[in-house]
Amino acid sequence: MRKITPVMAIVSILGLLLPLSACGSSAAADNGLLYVFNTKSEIKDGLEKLVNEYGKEHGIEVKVFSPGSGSDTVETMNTEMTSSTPPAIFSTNSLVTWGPADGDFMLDLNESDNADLKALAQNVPDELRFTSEGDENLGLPYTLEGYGYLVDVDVLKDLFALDDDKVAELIADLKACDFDTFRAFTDAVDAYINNPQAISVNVNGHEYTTAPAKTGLANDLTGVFVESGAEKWTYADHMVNIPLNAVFENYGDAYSADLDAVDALKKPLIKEMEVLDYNTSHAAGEDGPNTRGPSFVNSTTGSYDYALQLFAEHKGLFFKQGNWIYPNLKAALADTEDAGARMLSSLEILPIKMPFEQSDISVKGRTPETFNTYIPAMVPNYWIINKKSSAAQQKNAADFLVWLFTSDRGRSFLTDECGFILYDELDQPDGANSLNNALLHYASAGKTLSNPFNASPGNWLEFVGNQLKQNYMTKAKWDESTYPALADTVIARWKNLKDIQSS
Amino acid sequence: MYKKWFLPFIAPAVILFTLVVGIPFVIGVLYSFSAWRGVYFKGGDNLFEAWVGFDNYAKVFRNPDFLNALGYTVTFTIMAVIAINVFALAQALLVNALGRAVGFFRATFFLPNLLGGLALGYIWLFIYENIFSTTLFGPDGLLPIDLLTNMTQDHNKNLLAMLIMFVWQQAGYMMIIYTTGLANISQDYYEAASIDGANAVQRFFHVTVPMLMPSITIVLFMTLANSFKLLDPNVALTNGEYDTRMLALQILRVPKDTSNNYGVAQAEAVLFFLIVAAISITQVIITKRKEVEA
Amino acid sequence: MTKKTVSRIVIAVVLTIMALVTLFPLWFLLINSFKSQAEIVKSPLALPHGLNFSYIANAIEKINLVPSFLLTVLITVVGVVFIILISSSVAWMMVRFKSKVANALLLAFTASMLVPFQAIMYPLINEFDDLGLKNTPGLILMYGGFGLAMSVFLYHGFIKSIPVSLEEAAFMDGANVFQVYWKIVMPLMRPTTATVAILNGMWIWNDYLLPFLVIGNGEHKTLTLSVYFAKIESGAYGNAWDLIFPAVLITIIPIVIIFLFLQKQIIKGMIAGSVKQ
Repeated sequence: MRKITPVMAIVSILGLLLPLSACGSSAAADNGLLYVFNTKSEIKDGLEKLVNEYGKEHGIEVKVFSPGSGSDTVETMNTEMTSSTPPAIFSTNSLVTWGPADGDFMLDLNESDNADLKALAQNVPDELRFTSEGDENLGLPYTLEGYGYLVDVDVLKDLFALDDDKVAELIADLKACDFDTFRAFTDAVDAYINNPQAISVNVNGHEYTTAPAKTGLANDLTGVFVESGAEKWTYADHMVNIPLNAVFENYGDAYSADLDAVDALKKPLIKEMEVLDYNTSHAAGEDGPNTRGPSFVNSTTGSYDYALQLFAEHKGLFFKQGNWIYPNLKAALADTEDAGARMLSSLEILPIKMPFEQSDISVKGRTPETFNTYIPAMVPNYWIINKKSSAAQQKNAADFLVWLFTSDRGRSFLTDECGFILYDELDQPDGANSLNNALLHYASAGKTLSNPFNASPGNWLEFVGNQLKQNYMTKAKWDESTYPALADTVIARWKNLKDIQSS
Repeated sequence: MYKKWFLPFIAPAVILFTLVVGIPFVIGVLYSFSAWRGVYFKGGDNLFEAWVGFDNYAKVFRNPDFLNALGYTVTFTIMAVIAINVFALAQALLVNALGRAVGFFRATFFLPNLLGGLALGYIWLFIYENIFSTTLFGPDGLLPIDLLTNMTQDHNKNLLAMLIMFVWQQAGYMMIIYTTGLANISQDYYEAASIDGANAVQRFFHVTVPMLMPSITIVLFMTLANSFKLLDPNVALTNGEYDTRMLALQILRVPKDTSNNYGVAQAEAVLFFLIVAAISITQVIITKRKEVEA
Repeated sequence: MTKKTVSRIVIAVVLTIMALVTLFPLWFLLINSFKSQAEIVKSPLALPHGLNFSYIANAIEKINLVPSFLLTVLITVVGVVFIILISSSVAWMMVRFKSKVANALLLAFTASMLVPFQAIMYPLINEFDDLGLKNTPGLILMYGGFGLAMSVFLYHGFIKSIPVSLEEAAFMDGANVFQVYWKIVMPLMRPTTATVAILNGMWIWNDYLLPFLVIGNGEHKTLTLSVYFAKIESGAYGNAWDLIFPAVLITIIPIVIIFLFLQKQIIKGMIAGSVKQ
């Protein structure tokens, strides 16, 4: 019998374990890979197709991943970014976690080896640059986004029996009017939906009267606003950004502010709750008003998708959303022919009016009028090269971005398929996309607010959303006396999270 | 012979154990005292430059989420331990009393235990949202009970939602343990008790329960540990919304909540370990004492 | 009818109801795997109109069933075999060569059962990433490490009851240590091996957290992980139940089939496992 010694046995067991680990790590260093991690779920399918085509053409192995909206993007991103095969291109508009001061994952495009990419990056206008100190240039903007109350102008025409010129005047008046006027206007529309008769309302000095009986699209209305109660981001992220704009001038201001600066949020936040209460208690549903309660937050009938459908079916006059919904809305209207095309081509955006007083606003230069005539605009995502991915991956990533922004196929994908406003086309407010045009009009007039909400710490936005969803969206009646306590809670949370983040 | 081969035979286990449990445990405790961010240390190149002492622990106790999750977990655990024991014991007694088709009932009750809690959680979510809240217990349902509607949208009701699902999963397993325990009780005891004039209830409390004590202890602590560490149904049903995070989920979500403050996550993990260890040690002490008495 | 018969009928009825309630979610899962999203939401309790396999086919494609299934089988089988070999060999030696080291090991293994996974998961993943092992082989090693303590404990308890004389006789006949381990000790421990295999197999098959942390959204996912990501990716349009139902159905079918065939062994194994805990 052959002798087996203990030492031989140990060696052979270790020998068994080693190849296990070896075969795993060799797969990691794959040179041909271009991995794109996209956090804008709307372009998921198109991007996947585009990148796959690109991969075939250029003979490199590609991978694209986009988490669905409303899912745990952050967590999935954490897992992916810290894995041994991290994405070469990732997207965010926040410096928290991955920015230079934290994990330092973002390649400064000014220092890219790719001269074309460097040139592209240097063309990004100052106000859209992704930077922490002002010198770096950390990504290429996806698009410019803005939001407010989207207006179904076709419905407005039938409501007030207006022709094209007159409705344009009404839109201009609605864009310029103050909060109380706007409230009187929505009250009139609400009264009309319940009891159609001639109701007169004065907007910005002009008198408008509803048609004596419901005609055309006015028959479809079931409420003033379309709401999606299951989607926390619609009433947390985007709504709370308005009061945040009363406290912080922009992203950087909120990012670097002192802990106590956020105390000033209390008064604007309470005012915002009044608006939220009004909007959600005048919500449109499938066959009648959509009332607050457990079904309001149901994950099916309270979803973004469902709300979009309601808006497309003219169930509501206003929809608090942004220009990003254009492609989806277009798809939802695809089989309605002329009516759909008319609606699409005439959409407008109104500012989210707030009952602010000057004493509520702590940002210098902003007045109540600012909030009633400006809309928030921001870059929602940047294409960022991950400097912790392999050199080969980074090279592929740079080549891809150049191709994306310079080739016909790439640009047509971005503008036509995704409906994006490219940073080098900001001066063209006359395209086919009515919402982009509306936004660009605000932008070119300098009437834009910023996105301090993107600088909120940790899961603050989710916390705000949960508070509203749990304690308000499911309740038919809101108690105004609870607003100050709510404001205190979310302010305390902001500080608490800042504290946890610090070290 | 054995002496010579002792080392080679234990080496793989020791290496593996050190690699998977030993090192991470030690590192984990150390990291809980540092500004660890998962892939880097904040404010330094290594653990010691980023050392923050008990800061992370202080932050944990200033963070309402952790205390909330702790309270929620304790409440759920108490409910689950009672409910599972009652159900499992009832099932075991009934199957025992029937004496027929034992195999069928055992297999049926046991089956859910084998299925993944996450996948099945999604099915339960649908049942709660779209069957319980409408057809069954909704306002226009068969039997309008408000408590059983929209359970996954409410801090308190969700306890019940998780409980129903968890009992469904666990009762069968515990029932089998009880059936085994019951089979070990000699019929002589029951006969003797009957002769002494004990009725069914008396026989249950004076013969069955005492003789079943070893099984009860096992079930008690198994359910205690399983409920305390519960994760999958929590993820599937609410994913922690409506303040329904239990501790396991809370720890998992800290990085997301705090923009990757893994140091704080690790501090919570260490606290979690201390609690679980305390429960288990209590179990061992109690079991040992029982054995001495017996 | 005697009083006893009546009570037995009552018991039978109660148990049957309990059984039906227990099986209801699975029945529900089955019928809704053949319906469209609209049918599921509108009439969830209705039987499907015929056996439309398109939703199952869609789910098979979406979650990459075949590779996911093979990967899950691979991880489970290799993981279980790995645990069995390593834990049985260490347990055998710990019993046969009583020493301070053996006692210390037993204490360490026992103590480690107190450590919940959450307590060490982050450093563990970090460490394995540094070692280049944040991948499938690494995942199997991790399962090996976690399954070890309980399995050693089970084997240790069993080996104590095997008389050493058989092994000594074999050594006298000139057998080497591996022959004794493989031909004498392992066959004797078969019942414990079954328990170890069942307990670890079920756990590894269904586990979500460890694959999530290790594989994440990698190319090849385990079944449970595939279902999780299918649900996450469908999040954009509410829950796509016509994908989730069939996907869940596919993941549980193998287990249900195995259970139907190996009922007795599985139940026995689970009881043995519980008593030793």
